[in-house]
Amino acid sequence: MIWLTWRQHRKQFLFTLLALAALAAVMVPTGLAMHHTFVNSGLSACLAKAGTAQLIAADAGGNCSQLSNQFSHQYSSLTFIGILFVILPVFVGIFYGAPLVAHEYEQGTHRFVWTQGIGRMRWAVAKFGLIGLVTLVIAVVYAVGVTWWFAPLIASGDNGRLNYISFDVQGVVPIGYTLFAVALGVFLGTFTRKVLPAMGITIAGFVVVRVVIEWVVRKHYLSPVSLKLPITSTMQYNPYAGDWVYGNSVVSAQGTTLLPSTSLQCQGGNVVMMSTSGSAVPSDANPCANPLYQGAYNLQSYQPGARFWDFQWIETGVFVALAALLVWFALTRLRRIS
Amino acid sequence: MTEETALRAEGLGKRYGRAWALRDCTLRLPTGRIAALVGPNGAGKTTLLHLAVGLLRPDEGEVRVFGHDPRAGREALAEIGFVAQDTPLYRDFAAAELIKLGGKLNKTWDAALARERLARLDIPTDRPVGKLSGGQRAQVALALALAKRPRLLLLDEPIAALDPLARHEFMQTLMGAVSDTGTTVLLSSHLLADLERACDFLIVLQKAHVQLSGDVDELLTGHRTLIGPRETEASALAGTATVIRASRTDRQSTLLVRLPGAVPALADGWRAMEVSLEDLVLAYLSVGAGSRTENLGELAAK
Repeated sequence: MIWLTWRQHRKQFLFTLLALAALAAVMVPTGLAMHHTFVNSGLSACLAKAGTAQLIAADAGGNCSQLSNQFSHQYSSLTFIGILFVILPVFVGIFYGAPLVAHEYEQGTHRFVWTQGIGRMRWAVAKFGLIGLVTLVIAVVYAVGVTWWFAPLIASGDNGRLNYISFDVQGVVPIGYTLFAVALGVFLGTFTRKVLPAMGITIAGFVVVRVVIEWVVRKHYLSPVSLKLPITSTMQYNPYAGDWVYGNSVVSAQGTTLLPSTSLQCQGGNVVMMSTSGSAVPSDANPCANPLYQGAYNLQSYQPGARFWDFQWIETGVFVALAALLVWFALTRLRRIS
Repeated sequence: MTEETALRAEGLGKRYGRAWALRDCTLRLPTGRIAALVGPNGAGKTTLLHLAVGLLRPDEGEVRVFGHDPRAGREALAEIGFVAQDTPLYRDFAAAELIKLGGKLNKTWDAALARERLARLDIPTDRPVGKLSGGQRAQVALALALAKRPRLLLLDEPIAALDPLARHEFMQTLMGAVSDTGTTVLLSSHLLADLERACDFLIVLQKAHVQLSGDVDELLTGHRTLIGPRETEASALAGTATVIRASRTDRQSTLLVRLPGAVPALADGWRAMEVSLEDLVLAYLSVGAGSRTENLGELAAK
C-alpha cells in the first residue's frame, strides 16, 4: 500500500514540494528582513520593556507605538500574505482529500483495486492513514514556517495574537484545520463520487465550519476575565499584552454601567482620554466633572494573552475531533456503500 | 449436489432506488464450468457480477463464492479474479507496475505468469496501459486477474469493446489459460455468438430476472422446436411440453417447447427439430421481454 500510495501520488508530492519551496522563497527573505528590522529598530527591546503585564504606567510604552506604526507601515503589504495562509489548509483538503475516493470512482478503478485480495477496508485504512500522515507533515512544515514569519508582525501590532487571522495562522491550529479539510474532502468524495463536486463542497463546508467556530464558538472556550481600572488611574491597559478584548465599559462605584463600549481616563476633573466603540454618546460634555463618575472605573472583559496556547490546543482539539469523526463516517460509508 | 459449487445465489436481489436491478436470482454454478451470462444491456449482468465479487451489497437474498460471503471477509476475494467492464486500470501505470502492485495487494500472486503471458502476446510492459490498444489493455487486465490464481474468474463484458480479431485472441487466451487450471469462469456478454463455442453453462438474464440457467447440453436436449399444422396444435401438445415461444402462420405452428423428459410421440404431421443455443436464448429473452409468465419458477432451472 505504501508503494501504491507513493506511485499514485508522487506527482502531487512533487507539486506540493514545489509549492512549499516557492512559498519559502518568498517567506525566508521577507521573514529575515522583518526579524532584522524588528530587532534593529528597537521595537523588539521596547516591547520587551513594556512587558505583558495587564496594566502599565501611561508612559511605560515609551516610543513603542511610534516604532510599531513605522514597522506596520513598512510591512503592511505583507499582512495580506497572512490571508493566503488562512486558506492554505483548504488547498491541501481539495488536492489530497477530495480525490482520494472520488477519483477511484470517477475512473472506475475502485472496481479493480477493491477486488484485490487486500479488500476495500484495508485499502481505505492504509490510504487514509498514509495520506493523513503526509498532510500532517505538510501542515507542520507550514505551521512552523508561518509562525516564525508572522511573529514580528503580530508582536508589533496592538491587536494581539489571539485575534482573528493572527490566531489562525500560527501555532498548532493550522495543523488541525488541515487535517479537518483533508478528512472533509475524503468524506465528501465518498458521497459525490466525482472529484470536482467533492472539491467544491469541501471548500464551502470548510469555510462554513471555520467561520462558525471562529465567530460563534471560539469566544466561549474559556470564560473571559474582568479587569477594573479606576478612571482617575494613571495606569493604562497594556496594549502589548496580546489580550483579546471582548469589551470595555465605564461602571459607577455602585456597579451600574454608565457608558457602554467606552473607556475613559480623567485627570483633575478633565478628560484625558475617552474612546467609544459603540454608538453610545455620553450626555455630559465632561463626564470627569460629573459627581456620578465619582469612584467610577473602567471594566474590561477580555481573554488574557497568556491563554494563547490554551486556545490553540482547544481549537486544534475541536478540529482534530471533527476530522476523526469524518474519517470514521467515511470508513462506515465505504463499508456500506453499494 | 455431487459437484462442488463455485458460485451460489439464493433469492438474490439488488435495488437502485425503487427499481430492481436483479431480483429472485437463484442459481448454482458448479466448479470447472465455463459459464456464459447472457442478456441485453440493463438486464442485470453487471449487478450480478458485482454482487458476486462484493462490490455491491445485496438488498435481499445471499450470494456465496465457494461458501464465503464476498462482503464478509477477504476469503472470497482471494478466490476471485475479476475483470470489470471496460477493464478499469490505473491508466498511468505501466503493465509491469500493475503486476508489481498486484503482488502487494494479494497473498497469492504469480507475477512471472503474468509477465510471461504478456510477453507471449508482445504487449509492452513498460508503457502506461492508458496508451495501449483496447485489446491489449483487456489482455493486461486478464493477465492480472489470472496472476491471482483464482478459482473463480468473473469477466464483465470483456470483449464488448474489442474488434473481432482482438475478441478472438482474447477468448483464445482465456480458454488456454483456464483449461489447464480448472478455473471456473463466468463471463457476461450481450452477444451470445462470442461465447457460444466456448461455454458449457448458460445463464440468461432479462429484466432483472434469471430466465434460464443450466448445463448447455442438458438445455439443448431438453428443448425442441415442434412444427406442425395449426389446427392440431392443442392435441399435439397435450400434456407433453411447456411452450416457450410460438410463432404461427395461417396453417402452420412453430413452437419452441421445453420437454418434461424424452421426446414424446407426436401427432400426425408434426415433427420435432433440435434447437440451437441461439434459438433457445432468443426464445427465453422474448419471454422475458413480454409479460413474465407465471411459471417462471419452472423456467429458472435450478
